[in-house]
Amino acid sequence: MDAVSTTPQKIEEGFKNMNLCFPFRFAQLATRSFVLTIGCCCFAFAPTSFAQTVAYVDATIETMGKSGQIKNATLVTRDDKIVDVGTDVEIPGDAQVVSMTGKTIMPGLIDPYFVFQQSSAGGATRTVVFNGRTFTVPNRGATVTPSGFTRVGEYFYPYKFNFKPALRSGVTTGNLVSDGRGLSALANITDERTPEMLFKNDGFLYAKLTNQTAALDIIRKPLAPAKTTTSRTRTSTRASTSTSTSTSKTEDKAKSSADEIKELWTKVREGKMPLFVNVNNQASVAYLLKIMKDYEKARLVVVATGPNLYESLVELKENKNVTVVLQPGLDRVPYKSDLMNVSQMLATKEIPFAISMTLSGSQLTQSQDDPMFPLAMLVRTGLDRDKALKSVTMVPAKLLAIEKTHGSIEKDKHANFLIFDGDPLKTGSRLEQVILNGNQTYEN
Amino acid sequence: MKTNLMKTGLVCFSRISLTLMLVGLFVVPVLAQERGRRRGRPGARPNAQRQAKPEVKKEAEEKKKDLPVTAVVGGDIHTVSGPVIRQGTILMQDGKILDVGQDIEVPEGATVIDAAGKTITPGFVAISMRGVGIQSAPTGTAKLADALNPFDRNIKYSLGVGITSGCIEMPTGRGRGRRRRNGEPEELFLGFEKPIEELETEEMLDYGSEDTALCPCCGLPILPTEPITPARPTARQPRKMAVVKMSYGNLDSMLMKENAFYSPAPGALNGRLQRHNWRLEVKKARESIEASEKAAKEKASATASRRPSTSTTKTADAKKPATPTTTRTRSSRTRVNPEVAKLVKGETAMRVRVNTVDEIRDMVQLAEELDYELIIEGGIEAWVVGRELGAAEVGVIFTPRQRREARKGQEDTTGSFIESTKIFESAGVSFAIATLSNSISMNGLAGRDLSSLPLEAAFAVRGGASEKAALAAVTITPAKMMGLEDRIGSIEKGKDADILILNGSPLDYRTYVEHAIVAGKVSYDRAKEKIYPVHDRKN
Repeated sequence: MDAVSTTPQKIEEGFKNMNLCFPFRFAQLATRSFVLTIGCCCFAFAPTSFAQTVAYVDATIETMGKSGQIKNATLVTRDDKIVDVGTDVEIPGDAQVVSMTGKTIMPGLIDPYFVFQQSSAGGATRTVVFNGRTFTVPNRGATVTPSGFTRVGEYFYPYKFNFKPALRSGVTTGNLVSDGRGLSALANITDERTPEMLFKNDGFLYAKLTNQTAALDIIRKPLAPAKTTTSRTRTSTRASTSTSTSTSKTEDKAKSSADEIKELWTKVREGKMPLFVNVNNQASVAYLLKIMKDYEKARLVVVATGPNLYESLVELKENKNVTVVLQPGLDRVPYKSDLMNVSQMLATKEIPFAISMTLSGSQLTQSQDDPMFPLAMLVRTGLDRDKALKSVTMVPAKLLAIEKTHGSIEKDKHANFLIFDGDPLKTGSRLEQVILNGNQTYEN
Repeated sequence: MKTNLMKTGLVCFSRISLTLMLVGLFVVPVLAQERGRRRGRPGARPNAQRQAKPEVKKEAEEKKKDLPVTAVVGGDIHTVSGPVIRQGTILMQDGKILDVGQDIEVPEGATVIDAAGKTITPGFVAISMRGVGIQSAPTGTAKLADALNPFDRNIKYSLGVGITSGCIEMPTGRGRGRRRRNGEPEELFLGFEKPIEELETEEMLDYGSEDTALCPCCGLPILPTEPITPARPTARQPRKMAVVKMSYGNLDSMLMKENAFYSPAPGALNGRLQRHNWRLEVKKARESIEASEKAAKEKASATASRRPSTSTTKTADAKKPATPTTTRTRSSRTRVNPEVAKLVKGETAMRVRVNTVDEIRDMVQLAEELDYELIIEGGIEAWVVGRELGAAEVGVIFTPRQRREARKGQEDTTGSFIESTKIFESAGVSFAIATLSNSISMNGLAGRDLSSLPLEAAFAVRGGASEKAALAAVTITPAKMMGLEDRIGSIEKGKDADILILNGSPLDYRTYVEHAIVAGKVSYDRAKEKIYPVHDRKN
């Protein structure tokens, strides 16, 4: 094997390349007292981290693409991309070959609603005086402004957030949102906590909803089309002036950001961008669907728990452009001792749905040893296996418009995948490694 | 379970239990007699709303033809507004009653609900409810229409006893229920109040406020060293009430009416000063309405003179009802409370909680003097002034099991009286039934909360009222009080399809609601909901 013949210099090079997880890995190696026997032990894991081309052979691959499940397959990755996948794949000469006998590879999980929230110990906002004007901006470390509009991409401050539970659950990509409303951002989930985690700053509009006038107006008011056309002409003139003059830069920026938000809502209204709404209770599902009746084109993503959804299935079905995001696992029927599988109910009604592994924090931390267990439970109680797996990979990828690069193990896609030591949906199967863009970000 | 608990409750009232057994044997009379419409009310409601444009109406009718029809077949229909229809048929479409009668053909493709051997009544209307369908009252600029919860579990509990719509009292904020007045003793049991002199002695024995202490030697109150400035009196806000339909899961048909009553807080009209202010407020409202009416008339006559061929001034005036809220005068001091304006115009009634003869007389006198419709809530001693109430056309919201001991030596004119409802009926006082507690509380004492509404109506029969009046007291009478008698309260063509299918007499305590149909949709099915037990379950 190539890995065995690697010289110490090469290892050093590898560590340099391994800019993503160097400190973490180094600490791990040291603590494990593998330092002396580095030659024999650590190479079992090391090649996947820093080699250029890797071939995973003899694996069972849940591609989630056209080819479905392939047995005894080979997966070849180069740098951060998948080169080829299939049963009769030519292994390049320079590739490191990793045997995956008895193991299953599936795409990394994509979380369509990753609530990214930090403790705002230092107060949520601070006042900044700039050019003689006073601004209220979120405090560093506190991306959450409960009342205001949060741009997750701009105020991304990952240093205090614990990504480990999500990482252990196999989530490789997340649509980061805050608790209130704002514009989300797409990120690769690592424990590196660097701003480079973000790969798309401008994500999607999201909001939280309850059945109160103030909360409903957050969606109702901006969705309602502008009555006068004068505001639009004004924005265009403003845009032209801002390019020519830079004297009143801050003012222009403040105003143009408001216009930007307006444009985003227009996009939502015209169905060019989905709107993510986290509904808080059963009643707000009814209110939301009532509001959206006026906007036929708008694509809606309802983020809710099963008990809040199960009585609104007919109404959800009536809206053709709705996708549901819910947490995995069985739910209890309110006020009754019965259990229900809301995902399966949605599947039988043919309402598209995605599953967010991080939506329920407690569930996420509970199922750390067996991250796919709640999903397996759904399959066990009647949900189609393929639908279950797609609801955490391909469906959210399409929802986030990254289906060309993420969501399945196919040629030219990002090398984001999970390695299980058996069927992912079987109790007792362990998530062994998480590979993100060709690098190992987690191993168990 | 329910019957068991009820039985234990009944042990306390052995007299009641005896009479209650008789209640089940009654048969609701078949007579139909519409009570005279209330003063001021009917004319005030704008007819303009009903007069839709003929083209639009036609289109709507054509559209309606395609909508599915539901038929309830074979039951004995207690229409409330008319005679009982034996083995009749009710057709429903689009949430309304399409037709009702004995010889009605069920159209093809209609969903048929078999009600053979069952009793059918209009859905019950609870005049006093709390915490059903609305968890928290909207504050500030928040709208009530945004605060509804069509999936509230309490809606199912209400439907379980047949309540399909009701007047919801908005929670006023602090504390549970109404706040006790100073010196008022805490009720040990709902419906059992202490004799009135205890109330008075509490207040008469003035130990001062919490700031004054008693002298440890002589026991006399120690006066405060410096005068304590009394807290600034704040005007008590009227209680807000809205009529909500118990349409489970259906948001659109839920809110029927906002501000159903003008309901001043208890004691808000006590005392000369407060009454004087109230007179001024009503006067101000009346003047403002007259001014705006006059303005509208002038405007109408101006347009009529310009186009003399179109219409007379009278019809133009009728089409444009006076809107006092829009005629806002400059200063806030002269602004008219829109709720008071509605009261003066006769669109809503005043609903005030009074119990003693003196208080009732005061309220009736005020209502006569200022000419608005009055409804008395509580009315424990209303039986004393039954004739006066009948003559003044004052309605009573009554709880037959509410009791108060008479003052010693004045047994004939104070305290509660078991035959109150009989007196009301004979004096022509329309009464609606309220329960001892107006919320759903399964953990509380059974048979006293909102789910005891039909039982409470049965107690009205025990007090001597006819079964017809008792049934009306939970259907059409409260509907009239809320000004919604054209939509709910009876089974008639064109009314809302709120119908109960019962397995016995509506006033029998053994009766269960089998199906509750709200706005044409089966919203409650006893066999499916695990609310009330199903003893006779076949499978």
